[in-house]
Amino acid sequence: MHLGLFIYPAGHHIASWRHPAVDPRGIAGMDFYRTAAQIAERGKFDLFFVGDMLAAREKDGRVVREGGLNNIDSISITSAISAVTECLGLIATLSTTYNEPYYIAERFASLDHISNGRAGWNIITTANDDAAYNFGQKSHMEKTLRYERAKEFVDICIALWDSWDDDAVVADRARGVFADPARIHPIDHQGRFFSVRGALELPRPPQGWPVLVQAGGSPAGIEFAAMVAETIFAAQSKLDEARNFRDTVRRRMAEYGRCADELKILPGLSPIVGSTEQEARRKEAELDELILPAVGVWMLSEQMQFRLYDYALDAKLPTGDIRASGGSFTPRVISLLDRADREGLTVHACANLVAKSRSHGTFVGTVEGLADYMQLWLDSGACDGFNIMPAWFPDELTVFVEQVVPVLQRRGLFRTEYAGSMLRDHLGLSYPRRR
Amino acid sequence: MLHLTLSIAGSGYHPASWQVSGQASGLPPSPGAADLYPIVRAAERGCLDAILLGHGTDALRVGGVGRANTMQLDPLPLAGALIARTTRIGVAAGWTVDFTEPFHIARVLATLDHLSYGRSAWLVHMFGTDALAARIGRPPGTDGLSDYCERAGEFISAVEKLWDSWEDEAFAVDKASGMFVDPDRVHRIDHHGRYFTIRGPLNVPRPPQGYPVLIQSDPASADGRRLVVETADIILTRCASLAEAAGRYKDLHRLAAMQARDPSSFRVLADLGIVLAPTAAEARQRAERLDYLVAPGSAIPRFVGTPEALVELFTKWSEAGACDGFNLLPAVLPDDVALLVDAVIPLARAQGLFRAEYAGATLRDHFGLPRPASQYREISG
Repeated sequence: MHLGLFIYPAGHHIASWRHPAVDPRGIAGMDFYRTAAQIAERGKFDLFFVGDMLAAREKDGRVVREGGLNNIDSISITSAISAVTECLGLIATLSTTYNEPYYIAERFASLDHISNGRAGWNIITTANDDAAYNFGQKSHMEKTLRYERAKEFVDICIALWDSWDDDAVVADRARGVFADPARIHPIDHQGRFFSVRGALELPRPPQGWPVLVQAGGSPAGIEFAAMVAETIFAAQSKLDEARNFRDTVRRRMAEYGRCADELKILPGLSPIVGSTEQEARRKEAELDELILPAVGVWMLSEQMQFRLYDYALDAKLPTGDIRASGGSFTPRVISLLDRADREGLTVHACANLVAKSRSHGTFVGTVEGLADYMQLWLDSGACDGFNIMPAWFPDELTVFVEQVVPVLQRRGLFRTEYAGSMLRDHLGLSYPRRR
Repeated sequence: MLHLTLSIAGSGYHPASWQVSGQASGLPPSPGAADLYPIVRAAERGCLDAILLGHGTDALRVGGVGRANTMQLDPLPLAGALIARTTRIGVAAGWTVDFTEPFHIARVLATLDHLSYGRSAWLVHMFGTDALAARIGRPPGTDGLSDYCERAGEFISAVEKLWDSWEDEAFAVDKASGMFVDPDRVHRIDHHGRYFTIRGPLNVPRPPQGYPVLIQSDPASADGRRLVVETADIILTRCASLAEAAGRYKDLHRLAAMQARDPSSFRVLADLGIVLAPTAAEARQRAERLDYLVAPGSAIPRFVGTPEALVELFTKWSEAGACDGFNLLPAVLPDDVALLVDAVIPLARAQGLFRAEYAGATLRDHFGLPRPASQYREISG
């Protein structure tokens, strides 16, 4: 089983920052990230994962009062963490839609060198329109085009990482030759989106390439993942959905001539555990109590792509109007609409459901119960592990590492020591040869 | 009080540095950061103001491909790693305004400033090299120097707007009322310029320093110099003699006065390469040996001599009003940094030229620079 730690300011529960044990002021400083990373490394986690967004979270043109902050820059965080950890893999997120390949290739090669082979790149095409407005665009690039651009982008990065032979640095002091120019191969790429000439100013990264990660579940995202990804951060919260997703991706990989083991799928999982079922429920209820109605209505409006701010909280969710509004709904949204119809749920009730959901798998119960749950998913072929999303930091992470990890280890499901030092070793991924 | 910063790159700024550095270990220079951590910790022990990453690396590109250690870690991730290994010293990362967007720079530098609790600086490169242009896929050169400077000026001003888009009090985190962010104190910047259109706001709270420190090299052109005097907190000059440096220092201050810029709001540091040894003869030998291996052919003024002579130079230049301090470019890592911290700094301290400990917490504190207020403060009152 592979375990990632997904970092989010304060925690994954929307109200985590209001929890009495959380210091929300500290969430941008080094101490917060160092603490979380070192706990994860103590728990022998495979990796530390940081998302990235290129626009503030707004509601009606104003930053969201109840939770308008996303992660600060992920490359800065992961590179800082590389200096205070030894083995933990480090995954940063950068968009192929608003960057240039050379910079990104250089950045991840540097992170891989600085961390001695622990870097991974979560490749995103950026999903929200708002980012476009911060980069001089009138609208966000259309999805098919975005993924075509992403494919070309990644191909260029790979060519740049490969531009130095593994033995290009000769460092022959007697002859005064630092690097053998014959072993450095500038690329000359002319493509639809980019033209890039030159070589990287760094030797080949220790892992060859950083681990390539993908996080979208759309058809275009799945195709892209089947083509290039080595790890997927997935969002399925039900076992059968996750198994179907994993089967689909693995099948698609075969179409591209890839072996299914070259890709690990880690769904997000946000657990709350207690020594008893009741204690876990109580912890969850205390946190849910802190959810403000406004934040739930905002999340609901975003997901439904429908303004619900002017509706009374106790009004029935206007499912007819929402369906008629022409938004492109995810399966999760459709199932919530169906349930609202069936049970006659109010705006407030739906908002609460969304706010509590944490948008990924959740588990509330005992330590053994959580281990059972994780084992069942793994044994059913629904995943290769999990991206753990602690409900709040750092306490729920500490609980996971001190109580859940030992149970997983006792059951022989999870490592007791790191076997190698690089992220590819942890994930059981091969080292790519130069193309 | 003198200000001292240390630039680090490759195995040192002499293109032959890798041939003489770390000879004891017999290992080739590492492309990673492990060799740099002890150097940066030493600089912090010496209470230097800041480490500069990505400055003057052209000095290493002489002698043809493969001659020098030209391995260049991207200064941004390297800055993140160095921040994590230090607690007081400032860390400056070089990033050109070419080929990128203000939003990226504002976001990353604000992050570095938060992670470091206010110790970050942006080493603003106004000009990307033609080699970089090809790698990015843009035509080399510029449309014309004045357009170019205008674009750089707009770029910097957009970055500052983004840093200001969150007022200091915007990150409210009031658990009781449930106000995480105060929407009245976060502003879209709605920047519509000749070169950039940016809505904003940034998605990072205002940096602890207000703005990370802006460091810029003094350019040769009049347009460029006007821009630098208008925007830089630290100006790096590159002068071959004391007389030239003193003249430049006066020029820069005259320009600042013309632009109504408070002269206490910026500092001028002189770039100075250093080749140090306990005796003058040994220092000369070291320099000769390096130059014999590869002729340096770089425009960086260079001091070759003893720690005592270097402190003498510090005194002379500051007394003559040639600079507020120095940005030192060590010829060989870690050798020249070791002598700098163990011999030069104690001497400079003994003469009252340099601090014995850090007085403040942020890099602006070290430089004695004011913390800028948000330009959007007036709007919300």
